[in-house]
Amino acid sequence: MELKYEKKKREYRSFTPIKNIMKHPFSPIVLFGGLLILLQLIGSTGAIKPSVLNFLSPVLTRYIVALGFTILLGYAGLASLGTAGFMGLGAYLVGYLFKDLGVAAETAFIVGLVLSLFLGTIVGFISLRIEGMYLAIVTLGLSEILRNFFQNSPLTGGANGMNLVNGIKFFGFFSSNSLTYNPMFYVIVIFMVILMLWTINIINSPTGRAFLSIKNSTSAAQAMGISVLKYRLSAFLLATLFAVTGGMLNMIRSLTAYPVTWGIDLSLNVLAAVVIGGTKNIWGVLLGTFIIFGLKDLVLVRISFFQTYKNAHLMFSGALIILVVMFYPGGVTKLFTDLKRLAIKGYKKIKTLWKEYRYGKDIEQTQ
Amino acid sequence: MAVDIINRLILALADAAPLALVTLAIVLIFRTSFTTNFAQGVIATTGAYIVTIFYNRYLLLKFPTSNPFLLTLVAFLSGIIIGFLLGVFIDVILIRKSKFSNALTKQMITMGIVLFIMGLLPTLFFKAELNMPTIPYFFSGTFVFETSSGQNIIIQKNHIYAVALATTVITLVFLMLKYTKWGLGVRSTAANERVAGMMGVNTKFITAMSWGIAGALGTLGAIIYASYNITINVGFMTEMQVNGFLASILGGFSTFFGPVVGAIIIPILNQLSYYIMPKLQIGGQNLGVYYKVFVYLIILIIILIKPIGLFGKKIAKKV
Repeated sequence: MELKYEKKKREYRSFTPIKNIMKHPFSPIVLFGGLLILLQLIGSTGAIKPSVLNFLSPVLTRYIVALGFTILLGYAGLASLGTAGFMGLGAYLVGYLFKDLGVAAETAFIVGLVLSLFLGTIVGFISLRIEGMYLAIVTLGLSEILRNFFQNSPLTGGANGMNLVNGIKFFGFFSSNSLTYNPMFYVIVIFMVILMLWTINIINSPTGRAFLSIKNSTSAAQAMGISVLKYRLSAFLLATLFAVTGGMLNMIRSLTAYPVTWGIDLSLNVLAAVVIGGTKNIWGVLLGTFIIFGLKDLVLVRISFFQTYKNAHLMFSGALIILVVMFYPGGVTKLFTDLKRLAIKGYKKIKTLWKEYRYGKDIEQTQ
Repeated sequence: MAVDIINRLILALADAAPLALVTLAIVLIFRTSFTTNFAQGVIATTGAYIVTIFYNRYLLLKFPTSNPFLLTLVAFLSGIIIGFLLGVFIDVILIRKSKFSNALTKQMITMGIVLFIMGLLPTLFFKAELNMPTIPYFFSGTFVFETSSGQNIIIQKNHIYAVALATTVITLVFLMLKYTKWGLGVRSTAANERVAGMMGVNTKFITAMSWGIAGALGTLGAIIYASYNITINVGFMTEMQVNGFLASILGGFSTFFGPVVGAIIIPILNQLSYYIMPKLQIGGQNLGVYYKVFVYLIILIIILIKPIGLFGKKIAKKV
């Protein structure tokens, strides 16, 4: 008896490292990133059509933005409408610094981050000092100002947009529109993996718990000694950082930026992706991003109704936001847990039915 | 110089007319529903679309011989009624029925409405000619006052009518707030929703009516704004809405008249900035393009100094 137990223990111990690694919250993220890189590696030999691979990178850059928004909306309980403005700012900053001032792309990236964070601090500090609700208003104003700036300023190329014709070199990878398989995809995936890991870390840290407590009750959080302004501002700055990174990566990948792209509909689409994903789970948000941004490029493009009416897909995302917020706040994440519960319930029911058929009904139960 | 300033002030006043209406609508909803209504702009846009489509596609074709003034009036009224109904619909069907309701979810529902209507309008009114019906006799033309310095004071006729209409409507809403039962209900709901409900105020009806009136006010604002020779598209009220929000913060959300004053200040600041900024240069570049940035910065600085707004009252919160 004792021996058997010992043997089992030893067996268990020998398996634990692998099991622990698999159970670690980081492993599915790394696995996902590895799979994406593998997909590109295999695809770039010609096995997969470029159009299928090319649709992935804009979706992934928007997912990076949505990750920041998850922290802001799902954990700090704030809504911002400046997401698209910050994305556009990032895109134009990296383009301007690289093209017109001749700065190396990596330096331009860091300078862009610092400048945008500076802007985010000003706007966030002023609006969050009053009340959480004011953030959405002030960022909406900021995004309008930024859109106006992109449209009229000579620095951004105005309505003609900015175009990096000669390509850009970033961390040793060269991105150009002449390449059928753009290697910048690897950089985007690596950034995505790092930011996903960071998000998970923030969520599970004291900072994440402070965010949640502020969301649930500002007064209670304050009474526990949590500085509401500090944490709200840090959540907003994180969202800004992610949005700017997403915008910069998008610019480096697609090499073009037009002022029309960075309108309020993009901000609201990011919100839709996060809401559909259940606002708290990063995997749910990934699904939400694919539903909002991926479906449009993969499925809706082929339906003739959506071909004639270019804006009709906005209706779809808007209706999804309203329905999910009204009736199913858990989003896709909750859908999966509910389906799992339903499946377990059904399995148990079938099992009892089978037993009843096999052995007869339980007499005690029927009485 | 003085004439130029007067001309600019007149333009600012004309811009303030639709802005004040939109701002009042935003504040009305904020006070009764405790949320910021981001759908205000698109509700108004829908009303404006209805007006133009109804007038150009139906009324002009069916009754070509009637008085154009009457037709315009019918179109305007139908648009305002649609705005009212849309507002009531959003409150009764969407916001009241939502399962978990707090300020953030209400905000998100209004954002969803923005996205939905932004997709719906271009789909429904594909390739429509969107010119706001103008009344030929009343709306066109200018008054010109000659001054001794040689410059003329120019007032457009439609600006006079717009300002007069907006002032009348805003005064009417303020009188209603002060003297009618609905106004009393709004004020008590704004003070404390639960206690108002206990005292026998039908807060649901009050809120729905506020949404309806806000929709109607917004549509009227959109009609006035579009009559300044502005082509209508889906986003044409966005800037107005942003300015409305900023005016509300500037004047303070806690009163009704503060935001309206804010809505008069912002166009004046705009004209001031439009006057000053082209004269400034940084690095050989003219700053005239960025005159809106200047206004936004001024508003941010005012909010930084006085977070509750210019006319806001500090409200102590009970835990």
